[in-house]
Amino acid sequence: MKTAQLLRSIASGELSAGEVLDEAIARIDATDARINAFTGKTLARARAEANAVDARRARGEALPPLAGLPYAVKNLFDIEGMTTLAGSKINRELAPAPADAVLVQRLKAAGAVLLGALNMDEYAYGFTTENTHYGPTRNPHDVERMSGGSSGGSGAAVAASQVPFTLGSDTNGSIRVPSSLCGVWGLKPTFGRLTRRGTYPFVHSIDHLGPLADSVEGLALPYDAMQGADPLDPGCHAQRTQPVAAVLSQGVKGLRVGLLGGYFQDNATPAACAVAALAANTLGAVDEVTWPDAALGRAAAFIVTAAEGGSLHMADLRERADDFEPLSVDRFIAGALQPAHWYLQAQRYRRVHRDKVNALFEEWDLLVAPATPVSAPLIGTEWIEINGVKHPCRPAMGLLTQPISFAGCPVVAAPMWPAGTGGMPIAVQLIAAPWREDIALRAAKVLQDAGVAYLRTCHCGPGSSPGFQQDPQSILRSPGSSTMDPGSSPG
Amino acid sequence: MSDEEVLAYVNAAAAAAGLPLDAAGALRVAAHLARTAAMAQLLESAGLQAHDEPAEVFRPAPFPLEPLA
Repeated sequence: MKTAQLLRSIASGELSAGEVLDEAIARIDATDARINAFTGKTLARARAEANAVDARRARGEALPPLAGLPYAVKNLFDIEGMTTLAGSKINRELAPAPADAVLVQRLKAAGAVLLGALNMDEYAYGFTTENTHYGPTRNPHDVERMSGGSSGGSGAAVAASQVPFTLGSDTNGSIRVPSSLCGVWGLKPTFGRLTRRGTYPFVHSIDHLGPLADSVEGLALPYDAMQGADPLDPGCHAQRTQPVAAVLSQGVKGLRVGLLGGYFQDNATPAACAVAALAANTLGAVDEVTWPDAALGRAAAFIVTAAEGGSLHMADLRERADDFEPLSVDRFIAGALQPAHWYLQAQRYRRVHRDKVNALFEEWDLLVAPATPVSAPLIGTEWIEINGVKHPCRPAMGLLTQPISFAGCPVVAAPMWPAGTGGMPIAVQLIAAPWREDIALRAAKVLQDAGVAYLRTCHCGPGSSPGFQQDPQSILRSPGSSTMDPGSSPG
Repeated sequence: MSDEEVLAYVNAAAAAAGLPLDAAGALRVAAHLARTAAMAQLLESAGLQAHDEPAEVFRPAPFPLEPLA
């Protein structure tokens, strides 16, 4: 049962919030030993929140919009009484958070039921959630493969049906990459849409927060509940709410839809290109479009990320570099040593990039591109090959997402299932102009209703073998037969 | 920059920043920085003009939500 139906069942009394919580806990207990999505659980709190919902219904009160809906959050969100790890060993020494992150407060007010905190790459600097301190989060569709990152626990928890939605963060692709590799829906809102107050930062200039979910409604309903101005977050630019739930079914008729070519096809395998083409075709795309200077946008995002991330952790890098994640500490140090010119050039270019992108959206309403170049590689993969070019695996997972988030555009990641990937998913990015999440979500609903993008049930409980449940409606054909197997990448 | 120049830069900049690095660590960091240097070189082709200001989030104070009196 997915988000919308779950909420209806709870609202009607067909199911109690307590029963829904019992189901989620049972699913977590049955699957998390293999998946490793959770780093901490809040079961007593969850029980109290579910009981409160059931008590309100028993009193005949109107229920809030997310009443009884279970969820969990990436462990960089503050949870009252729990230490905010941000995927690190070092943060274990911090005091427990005195209050929930603002978005968690808003979800609580909307009646959602918090089950705990989820694994991630240390300090969000990664695309794979191969976390040395807490173990890798494994892909529920094949536990030998990566979940993606840095919100890997958030993607895997939804893919494993542990909870219907989660929260993650996305600086360069950290919601969209795990959505793609785990086959779940993801929403990276406009930069500045949702307050980040009460979360552990990575790159102040680019950090976004957003939901991952089992359905388009699972994105839209929590997203609406989390909206609102916050003058205390200098990166929150929204002045008021712009709810989307009521417009989800408006379709895409009349919208100008384009398929991104050039960079977004050069850096994508045939399987990734195939799902983008299918989505674009379903949405009535009329032309191929060029994103302005995508390689420059990615380069600038890379430099800003390294510089701000390195600077943020300078004190610990000086004093205790051995306590960092071995997979990312050298990148943090390299970032901390960048010449000022590189950083300032990248920040100056960001405005140029933004203006070119906004000009593009005067001619288009929605643009479509793959979210990742490949489906989930095996855990530990060092190199992948994309169209004959060898790339370091971990940074390459963000090749197609970084130019988009650097411009601040809202993106829905729509989970699709190409041929040639051994049954593993690849998501498609549905990209709209800043502040037009509604358009991206309307397009997502069209793909969902057409059966083109959707979740697949995975069998990831004890004793089950890695794999997935084949869905007959998902037979896609990629052009040609040259789709690489990401698990057999060189290196 | 050549590999040797990147490594020399890493060692000098790490000393300036007070970041202890052993020889093996400096080599690993230099490999990452060389990749970033290529991206920085790419950005040199962006044709930035003098009036292209940095993107920023700084504001002197929050925008007043109440109307002006």
